[in-house]
Amino acid sequence: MKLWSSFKKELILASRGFYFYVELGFAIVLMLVVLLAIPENFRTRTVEYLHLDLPSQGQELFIDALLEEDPGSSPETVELETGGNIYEARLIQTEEQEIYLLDSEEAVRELADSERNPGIVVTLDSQNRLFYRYYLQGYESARLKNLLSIVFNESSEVLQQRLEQQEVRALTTGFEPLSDRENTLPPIVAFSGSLMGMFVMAAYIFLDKKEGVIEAYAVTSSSIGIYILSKVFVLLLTTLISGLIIIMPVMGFTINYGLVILLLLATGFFASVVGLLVASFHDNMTKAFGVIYLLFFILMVPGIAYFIPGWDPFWVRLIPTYPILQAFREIILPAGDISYPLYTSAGFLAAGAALFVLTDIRFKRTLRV
Amino acid sequence: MIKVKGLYHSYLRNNDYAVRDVNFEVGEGEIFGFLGPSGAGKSTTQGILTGLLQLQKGDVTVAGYDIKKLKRKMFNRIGMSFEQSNVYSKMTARENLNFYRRLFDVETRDPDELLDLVGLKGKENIRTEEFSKGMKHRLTFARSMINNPTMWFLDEPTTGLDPAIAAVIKDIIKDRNREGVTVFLTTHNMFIAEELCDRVAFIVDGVIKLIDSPRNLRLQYGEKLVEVEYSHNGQVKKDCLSTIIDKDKDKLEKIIRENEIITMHTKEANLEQIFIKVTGRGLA
Amino acid sequence: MLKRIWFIFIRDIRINLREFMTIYMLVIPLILAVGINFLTPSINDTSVNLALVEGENREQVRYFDDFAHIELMAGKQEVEQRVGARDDVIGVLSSGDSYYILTQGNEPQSVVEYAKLLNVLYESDVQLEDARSEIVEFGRTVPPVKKMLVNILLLLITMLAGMLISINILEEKVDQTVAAINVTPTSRRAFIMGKGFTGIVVAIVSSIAVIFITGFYSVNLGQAALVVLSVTMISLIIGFLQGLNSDDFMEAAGSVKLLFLPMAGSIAGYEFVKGNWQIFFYWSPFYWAYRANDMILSQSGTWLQLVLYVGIIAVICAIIYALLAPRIAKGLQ
Repeated sequence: MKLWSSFKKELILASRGFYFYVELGFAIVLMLVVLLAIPENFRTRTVEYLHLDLPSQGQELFIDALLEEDPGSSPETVELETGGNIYEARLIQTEEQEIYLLDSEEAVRELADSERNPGIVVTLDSQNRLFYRYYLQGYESARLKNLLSIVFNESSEVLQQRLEQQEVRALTTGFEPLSDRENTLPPIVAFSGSLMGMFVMAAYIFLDKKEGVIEAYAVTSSSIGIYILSKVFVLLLTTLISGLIIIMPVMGFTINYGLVILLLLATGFFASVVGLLVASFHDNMTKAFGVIYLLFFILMVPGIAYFIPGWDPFWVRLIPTYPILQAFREIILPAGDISYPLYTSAGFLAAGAALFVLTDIRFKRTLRV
Repeated sequence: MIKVKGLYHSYLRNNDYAVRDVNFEVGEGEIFGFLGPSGAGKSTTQGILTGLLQLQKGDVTVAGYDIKKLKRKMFNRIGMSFEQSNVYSKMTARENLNFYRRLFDVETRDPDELLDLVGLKGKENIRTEEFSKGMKHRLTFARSMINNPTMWFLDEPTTGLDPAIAAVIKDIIKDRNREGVTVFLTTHNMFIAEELCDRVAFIVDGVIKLIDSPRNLRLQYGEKLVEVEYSHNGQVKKDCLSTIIDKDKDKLEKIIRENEIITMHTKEANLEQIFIKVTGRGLA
Repeated sequence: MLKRIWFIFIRDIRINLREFMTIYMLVIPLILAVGINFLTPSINDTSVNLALVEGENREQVRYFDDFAHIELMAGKQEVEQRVGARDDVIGVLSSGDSYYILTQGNEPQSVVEYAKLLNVLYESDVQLEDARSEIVEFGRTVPPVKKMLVNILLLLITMLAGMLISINILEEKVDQTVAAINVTPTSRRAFIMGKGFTGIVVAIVSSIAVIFITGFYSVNLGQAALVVLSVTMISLIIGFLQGLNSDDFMEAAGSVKLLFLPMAGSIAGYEFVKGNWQIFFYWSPFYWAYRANDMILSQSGTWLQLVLYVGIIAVICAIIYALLAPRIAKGLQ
């Protein structure tokens, strides 16, 4: 009963505060950005400059092979300008590449240098075999350079044939990948939803301290735990609403919202308790925020691993946001593993509860004006 | 030193005036008190005189400067002690004064000397966030003297101070006044006003009701009575007698002659009583 | 006036250096710069991660190691477990005389194709020694991802500068010292400039420090400082506005947080939105700053282009200031 009254009071107070509406407004803006500004799928074609220093027959074969990737298309003649020179090129567009076919190696070199895109010159060596000269920037990884060195050693037909014959087995099937737009949801919801609780909770405590409300509370029969918990519940409500504002318009009713709510509440609870715990160790808001910002930057690192699949060091997987991101992803994947978000939510609830007990003890000792 | 004519101010910029048709002058070397309850218009008037509030209607000159064409160099001659202490909480007392003195173009006083003057010696290196309310107030008061102002605005200078420190502050004000500093004092403490001011203005609801010296006001509005407490045959008795009526004068003479006098006071009206009488409102 | 601006600036710096939060704001960009140096080599070295059975085919492991990151597992089951984990690791397992690619099922197709290609090349016995190619490099050692991260950090610094200003203004508000300053010869302009100077100095010094820490030694520092200065203008305006119109740090922080959205949007717009569609970001000073920084960090572009970008930023800031000036003036009373 006391908890409910305390929660209602905190909700009224929060709804009269500016920050409450900033959070909700921010969520609406984010949702609009995701829906309207982020395309369904990023179409990032890589640009390459190509010169075929081959007999005309060889050139035709090469060009035909490139055009096969996008049947029905034909090269478009364009002009490219660099360093005061204008070069005519034929543009061949495939699904993943824009290839500019140039008439000289010099043009390839100049454009690769100025536009910072790869250049390739295909010529014949002394034994009349195809020889590839790559113009690269210099920061490409050794592994990539190694691959480029050998990828055309085998004839393309043979390579293609063997690639088609290469067996691939999947542990799970019927998998539909997420669109690029859907893929941006987990980090957005995690960082601007769940984790914001860290800051907001700490701020609420210090604001109450400044207004002398804590002093007044300390002479009531309600426990500090109820006071903290009621604030957490208000925050969870905000997290839930802002999270759903972002997710629902993008995903519609195609996902399990029970899991979404559970994960938002569990991770929001954890983040808010972390914020409270940090606040209990400091006597003013700016000091606490300094620590929380540091934590937040560390927690953002798994976001890099999320967007760059090849970068996944072991230590990144230990950072709490890693499972949060993966759990949100599993929820929005069409055939996602629902046990993962369940376990993740349970884990964060348990961790949050343990930290809550610690926070309660700290506040009993330290929450004085 | 201060000339105010036809001063009006409305916070809402309509006909609801916080200060209405205020007129007064303060001579050089005078201590002028603005006495009134909360919301009377004291701070509004003071705010306009110090440039903190924009002059909307009227003519105001302070230290020879027309407030309508406010020049920053006017502030080299002005000092202001705020009712609400407004010192930098993250700086020490000395740092606060050192920073503030650098903002002036005139010779300034030594911060340590000022801190000693207001009883903050030994507290120079303590951050003001650790100061009590009274200490902060003293620092604010000390800061108002740093540029040796000739025109000194004091807003409730002794508020929150214990009697001993309040006495020190009052002495400082009197000393500075003897040196020729003009003081504009706003307060609702009638004791301070009576003790310090050469003249006081009563202001209520934005309108000045009267301006006169405390002495004249007491003489004009006070009752000429003497209250005497004496011991008679082992019993303590009290009488209140007129100093005008002959019969009472004779009785007073007899009491003094025949009894042991415990206490005897003339019953002049104090400023608060006069204020209530004149304005119909209390000072609270 | 200059003297008073200087004193206000020195006071703010002195107080800022006593506060953990503000020291943190000064130091965190430098820490992030070091972090970028630490992270970008491995981010840049993103090929594919393969899981193989240890001891089964050492030659294959040696071969793949030249092209991919290898993890060796105890057996087939362990490889399957590893592939089934959250990240994108591809397994290469034997099946009779050949090898098959094992995926979880949710990896990006490009990752799967890369793994297929590697195995095909291995089984075709294509060796590095037989390479019929030559690589010519232009000597640029800074990868695009590092340039992007440093650019983002430079914009973040200007945001932090704005927050620093709003904290300083808020301090004046909480301590009610603006009134005390108003009864000194310090003009409003001097006060604003003194307060703003802290943000400008912090932004420029931090930006140059970040540029040096991340190894961009040969960029034109004058150009970089000019861009930083121009974007700091917007941070000044917002910092003042939020400091004066907020009653507490939380409100100020919340308001400044709103700025992260146009900033992030501008960055995303420049990096991902193609060609003519970028016109929708032309209103944002952050877009032009990011574009200018990209040019500076790449050491491409001319002074003329830079001056154009800075000019656009200045015009946008002037418009914003004109709209917000009454509110700022009201807050200073």
